[in-house]
Amino acid sequence: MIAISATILRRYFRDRSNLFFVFVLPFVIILLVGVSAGSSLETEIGVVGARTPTGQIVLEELGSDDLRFFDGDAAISDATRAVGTGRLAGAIVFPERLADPIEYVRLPGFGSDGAARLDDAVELVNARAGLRAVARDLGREAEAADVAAAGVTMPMVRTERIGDDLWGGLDDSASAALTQTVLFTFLAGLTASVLLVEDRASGISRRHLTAPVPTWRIVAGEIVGRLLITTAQAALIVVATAVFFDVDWGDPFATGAVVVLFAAVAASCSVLLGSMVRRPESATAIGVTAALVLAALGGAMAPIEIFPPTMQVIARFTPHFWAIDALTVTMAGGGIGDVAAELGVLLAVTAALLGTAAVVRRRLLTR
Amino acid sequence: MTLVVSRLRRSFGDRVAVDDLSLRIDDGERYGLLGPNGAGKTTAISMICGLLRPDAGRIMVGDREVTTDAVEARREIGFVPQEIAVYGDLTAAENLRLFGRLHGSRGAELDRRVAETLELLGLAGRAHDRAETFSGGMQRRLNIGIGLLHRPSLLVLDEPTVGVDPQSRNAILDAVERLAADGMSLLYTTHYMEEAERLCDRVGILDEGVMIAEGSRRELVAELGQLDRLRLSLDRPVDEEVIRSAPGVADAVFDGVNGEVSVDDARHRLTALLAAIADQGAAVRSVEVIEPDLEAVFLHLTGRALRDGGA
Ligand SMILES: Nc1ncnc2c1ncn2[C@@H]1O[C@H](COP(=O)(O)OP(=O)(O)OP(=O)(O)O)[C@@H](O)[C@H]1O
Ligand SMILES: [Mg+2]
Repeated sequence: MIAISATILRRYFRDRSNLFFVFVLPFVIILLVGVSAGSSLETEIGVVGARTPTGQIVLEELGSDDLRFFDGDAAISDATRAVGTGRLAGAIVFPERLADPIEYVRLPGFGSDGAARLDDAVELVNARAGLRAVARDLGREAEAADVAAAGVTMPMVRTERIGDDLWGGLDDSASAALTQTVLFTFLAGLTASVLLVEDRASGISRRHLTAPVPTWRIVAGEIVGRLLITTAQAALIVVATAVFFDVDWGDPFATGAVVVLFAAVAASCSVLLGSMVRRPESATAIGVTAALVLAALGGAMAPIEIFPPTMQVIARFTPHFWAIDALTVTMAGGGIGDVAAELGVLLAVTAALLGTAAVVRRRLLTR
Repeated sequence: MTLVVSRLRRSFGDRVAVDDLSLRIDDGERYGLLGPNGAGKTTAISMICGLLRPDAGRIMVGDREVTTDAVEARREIGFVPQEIAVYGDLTAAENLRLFGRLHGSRGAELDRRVAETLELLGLAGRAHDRAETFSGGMQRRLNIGIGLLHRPSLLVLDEPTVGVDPQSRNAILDAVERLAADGMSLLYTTHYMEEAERLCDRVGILDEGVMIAEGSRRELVAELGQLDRLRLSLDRPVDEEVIRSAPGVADAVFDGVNGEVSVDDARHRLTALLAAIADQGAAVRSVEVIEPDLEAVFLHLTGRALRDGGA
C-alpha cells in the first residue's frame, strides 16, 4: 500500500505541469489578489437614493464623477449585484429617513480606488458632523457655525459596510489565502486522477492485482497517495501564506481538521473520477472544469453573500462551501467546537465518497 | 507448480470468449496456448491469473484455488500481459522495485532481484532511464521483467513478442528458455507457431474459445495424418518405384534429378532412404526435410489460416 502511494507521489511530482499547479499558480493568484486590492480597474460607484437628504450632502463631497445612479424598487439589489460581479467598485445606499444608517457595499477581495474614495467621503462627512456636534457641546457656537459654513449641515451619520460581512469579514490576503487553499486542494486532487486513468489504459492497474496483496489495500494505496498530494497542497498554501503574507489561520487544530477532511474529499473525488473516465485527456478536462465550477458554486471565487438566493442553496451541495464556511470561522478565531457542524458535514461527505470510490474501484478492477 | 484448469467458461454479453476450457500444466512443463486473434487466449489467461471472474469452472495452482480475491495463489504466478503495462514516467529500476515490493520483497533481497532481472533481460545499462525513453523491444523486456522478478513457479506470458524486432525477440526467447530450464513452469500464448515449437513441450490450440486440439507438436501432426516430406536433389535420375518401396515411404515423385518423397518420420527414415538411393548409384546433392507444422495443423482443423494477412 505504501509502495503504491509512494509511486503516485513520485509520479505526480515528477510532472512539471503539476509542479507549476502546486507550487507556483496558487501564489501567483494570491499575489495578484493582494496587488489588485485597492487598484481594481473599476472606479465607478453605484448610488441608490441620490435625492434623499443624506444623499445630496454626501454626493456634494463625492463629486459627480464616475457615479452610476440606481432608482426604483430593485435599486438596492441591482446595485449590490453589480458590485458582486465586479462591474462597480462599490455602491452606497442613502436612506429615506435621516435617522437610518447609510449602507454601502464594498467587497474586501475586490477593493479599488473607487471604493477607497467612497470610504473617504463617508468618513469626511462623519468627521465634520462630529466636529460640529463637539463644538456645540463645548458651547463654542461660533466654531460650530464655522464648521457648518464649511458645508456640513447634517447630524452624525451611521454607516454600515455590507461588504464587511463577506468571507467572514476577513481582509484581502486572508480571504484570498482561504479561497485559494480550497480551490487548489481540490484541483490538485482532480488532476491526480489522470494517473489512475493512465494506469487503467496501460494495464498497470490490472497488473497491481496480480500481486499477492488484497484488493482493498491496493485501492487504499491509491486513495492515500492522492490524500497525501491534496494535503500537501493545502498545507503548502496555509504555511506559505502564514509565513509570507502574515495570514492568521487561527487554531491549528481546528484549521488542520478542516483542511485534512477537505483534502480527503478531494482525494476520493480524484479516485472516483479516475475510475469513471477512460481517456487521460478527458480526466484532465473534466477535472479542471469540475474543480473550477465547484469552486465558483461553493463560494471560492466570489463571496457567497452576493449570490442570488437559489445559488446560495446550491452552494451548500459543494464541499467547498463547508470548507470555506469552516475556515472563515477558524480564521476569525473560532475553535474546533465552533466548526463542529461543518466538520460533521465534511466527515459525512468524506465517508460517503471514500466508500463509493473504494467500491467502484474494486468492482472495476475485478470485473 | 502444477496448474489445473477445469471447464472454464466466460462470456461477454452473448459472445462466448472461452468455452469449457480444460488444461493441465505440470511442474516445470512449458505449455503453449495458440490461437488466432480473438480466440480467447487473453481471456483465459486473465482468469488463470485471477484478474477476471470466470462464469464457470475452476483453476488450481498447486493446491490453491485461483479466484479474483485469492491472494496466496498469486504469489506463485508471474503475469506478463499482452500490452506493455509499465510506468513510462518511472525508470526501469523503479518499475521493478515497485512490483517487487508489492510481492513482499524488501531491502537487500529486493536490490538483488532487481539487479538480476535487469541483467537477465539485458537492461542493466538502462536501469535508471525512464521506461518511456525505451525502444519498443526494451519496453517489452521490462514488461516481462516485472512478471518474473518475484521468481514465480508459473510464468504466464501473453504474446510477449508482439511487434518486437528480431533482436529483442531473440533476447526474450532466450531469457524465457533460461527460466524454463531453471524449472519454472510456462504458459505461453502466441500466434507465432515457430515460437511455440521452439519453447513449448506441449501446445493447446484455441479457436473461438474452444480447445480444438492439444498435445506435443508431433502428436498433433500425427493426429492430422500429415506426413513429413523430403525434398531431394540428386546427381542422376533414379527409379521412383524403388524409392517408393523403401520403409516408411508413402509416395515418391521425381522429375529428373529432383523429387519429393513423403515419409511418416523424416528424421528417422532418412538413413535408409539415402542408402536406397546410393544402391542405385546416385548421390544426393541436397536434401531438405519439411515437417508439417502447427500452421498446417490449424489450417487442417479450421480450414483457416492462423494469422490473417501479415499480423
Ligand atoms: N472486456 C471485453 N468485453 C467484451 N468482449 C471482450 C472483452 N475481452 C475480450 N472480449 C472478446 O472475447 C473474445 C476473445 O478475446 P481475447 O482477447 O481473449 O482474444 P485473444 O485470443 O487474446 O486475441 P489476440 O490474439 O488478438 O490477443 C473476442 O471476441 C473479444 O472481442
Ligand atoms: Mg490476447
